[in-house]
Amino acid sequence: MADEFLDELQKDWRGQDVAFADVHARLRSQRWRPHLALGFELGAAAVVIGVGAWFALMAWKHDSLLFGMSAAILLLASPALAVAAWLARKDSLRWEEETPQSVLSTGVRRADASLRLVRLGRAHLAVIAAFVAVLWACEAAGLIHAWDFLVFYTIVCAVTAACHLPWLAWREKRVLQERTICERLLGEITALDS
Amino acid sequence: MSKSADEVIREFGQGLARVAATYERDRALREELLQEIFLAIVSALPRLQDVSKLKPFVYRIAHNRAVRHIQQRIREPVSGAEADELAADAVGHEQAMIASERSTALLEAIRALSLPYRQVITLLLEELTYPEIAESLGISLANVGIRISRAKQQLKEALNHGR
Repeated sequence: MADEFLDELQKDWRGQDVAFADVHARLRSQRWRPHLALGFELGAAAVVIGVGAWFALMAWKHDSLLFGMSAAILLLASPALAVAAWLARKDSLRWEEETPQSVLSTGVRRADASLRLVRLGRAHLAVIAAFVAVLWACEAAGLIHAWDFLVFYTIVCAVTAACHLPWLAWREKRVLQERTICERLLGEITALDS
Repeated sequence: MSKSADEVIREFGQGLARVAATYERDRALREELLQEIFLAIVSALPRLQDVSKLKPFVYRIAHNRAVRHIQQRIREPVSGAEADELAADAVGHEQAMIASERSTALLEAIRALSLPYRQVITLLLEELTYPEIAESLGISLANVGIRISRAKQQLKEALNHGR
């Protein structure tokens, strides 16, 4: 059965000037990008854990409370962040097995996971802040004598927090926007199915 | 006989570029999206078990990847006049200019469709059969027919209104 309207659409559709040769040519160099990104993240996590392990060794060798507490912070909190980030990436989609609806549903779940990571990041900073406060309390009580190191350590933690908190706020805002878009598009699909 | 990734890209590249254009106006972002689609197809090709289903396989990946693209695009899209460069080969040639304008108008009308209608109509225009469209989008055959019918109706209204 002839469909003149569709035939016209076909002509106009095919009449588009679409070039893809440049994109195709760049494909070869782009294939390694996801693997490099994952490798970098895992490498960074390994470095943090390594530093934590070194702190633990120093704490044992020199019987140092300061090194011990620093090691505890790095070895407990950082791996949790690293594993969460790795799991989020590992759970990557097999595009041929998905449908538009499942992609959007996954988008919502990923946004929720990212928001949990943001909250975990803020909690991590809060733990470090509490840790610094406890160190100062120990210093004031005479349990440790490390004034110079404490001042340096406090400044480092404060600068880290000052850099990290705005990034967390930006990330949270962006993720919430993505979640809103996912829900809107899901609504368009499910409205047709109901 | 299985095809290499390069062969698949060469065969479907133009169609995939047309699909990408319905999701993204900005030329640079459109190329980025097309790159992501190609990468996803290349990664998935070893998992294709039935070569006869290559076409719905490729377009399924394209639409899924494009949906991810628009869900992550936070900024407002630029206007069609600034971003789209659907230029005729022979500038000043009247017939080519008219054809180019018609293509632009069709593209804008398709972009204005809601996501489910946009997807079925682009697959239909890429000459997928109804069963292939159903497979690409993971919906029933009946649903394909209903969505196509409504999409065509909306396109008719949009294109007649603009002419």
